[in-house]
Amino acid sequence: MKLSAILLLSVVGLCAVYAADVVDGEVTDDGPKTVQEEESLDIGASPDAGLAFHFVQPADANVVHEFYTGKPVKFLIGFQNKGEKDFVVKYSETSFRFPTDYNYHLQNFTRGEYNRRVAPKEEVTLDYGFYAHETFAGRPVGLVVNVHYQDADGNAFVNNVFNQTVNILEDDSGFSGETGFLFIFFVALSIGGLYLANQFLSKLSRKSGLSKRRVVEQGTSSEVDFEWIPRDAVKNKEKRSPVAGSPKARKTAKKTD
Amino acid sequence: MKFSLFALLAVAVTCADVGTQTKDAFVLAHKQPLSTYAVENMDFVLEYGIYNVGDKPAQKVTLDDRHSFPTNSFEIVKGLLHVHFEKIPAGGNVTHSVVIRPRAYGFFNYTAAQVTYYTDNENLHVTLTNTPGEGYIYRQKEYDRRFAPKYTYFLVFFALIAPTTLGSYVLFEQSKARFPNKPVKKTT
Repeated sequence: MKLSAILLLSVVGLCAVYAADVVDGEVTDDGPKTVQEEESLDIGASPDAGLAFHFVQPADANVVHEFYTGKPVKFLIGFQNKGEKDFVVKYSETSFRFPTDYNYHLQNFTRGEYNRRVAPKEEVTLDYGFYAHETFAGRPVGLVVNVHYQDADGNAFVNNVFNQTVNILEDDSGFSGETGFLFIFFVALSIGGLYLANQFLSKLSRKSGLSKRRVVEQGTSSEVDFEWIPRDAVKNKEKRSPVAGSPKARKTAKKTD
Repeated sequence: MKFSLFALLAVAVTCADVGTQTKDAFVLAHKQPLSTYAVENMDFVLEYGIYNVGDKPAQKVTLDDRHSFPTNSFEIVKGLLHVHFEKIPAGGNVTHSVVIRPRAYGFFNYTAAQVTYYTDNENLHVTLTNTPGEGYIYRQKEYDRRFAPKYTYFLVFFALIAPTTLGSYVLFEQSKARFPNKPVKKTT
């Protein structure tokens, strides 16, 4: 009875320390965490592989775990071969999970295909990037990044390099079409309002103010002011106009001449 | 009984220690082109980032990318393809950029750069960056067709529309000259 209690205590202590490890940015080969995947329950991490994870963009994502929608999120995965045999890093798998139930996939991103051979005592850096969709704005999601790799004998391994809840924020730094058009609409509305007010005020002032004498047009005066008409145009007018009548009539007139 | 309890606790703590021990320097290096298009005889900007995600500083960090850009097909305009950083502290990062100029057009495979560093002054680590992959280096002509300012096109266009615009302007000027502006006399 007592022994079992002690065993339980030690196991709990172990778990607590491991749980504290999650906060750390770097994740190394610890098996229990990878048993997250339902399809790869039997596949774990290799003890000869060391993995690291680091966000490049946005720069503060490593600390605050916040992304903006519509902006690229880029991260690096470091793979270290500590063993004696070659490893081949096949691909990385990135997905958004429901934050309270990580078995529920919200979105699976395209695999990052690498197929890179890592010789013993060598390291390789792999990169991946994605955009968080607008529909995730303003809510937390679980981001899970798994790396799949093989050793020289063809044994498959999976390492979980990132498994935390991240906050997705709405990007309001750029120009939003909605507010932009709203602004244009209000400007147009105010200009229209000013025009209408001007019309109304001028009507009022016309009614009350001194009314101008109404000018009544009485046709053009017979006097023609020749001053503004260029001289050559006036001369042209004085010239005899061409013979009236249709060309046919003119022809007959010529014949009679 | 008490002894066994302590022993078990000690075992548990040491086991856990393997997982949470302070890690050596772990350097991640990435390489990415900053220019959208690679064009022959035009500048192409590359950026290298070196991140130390370990808990100890990385010593004698060297970045070498000379083999990916052979000088017979690339001209180095600015920057060095082989750089050395004495120390990158834990959690620190370095960015390095190089401007190169491709000499020929065609497909080109951008391979990984090599980064070497020491942990504790004796353990040499060799890291390869990510590979940006195969990219196309555009011909200057193709690039100009898409992006160059097309001054000759505009000149030809102006020459084409000159008869309709300049011609009508000249006609307007002529008729305007026929009607000199005189002070208007008030009639009635």
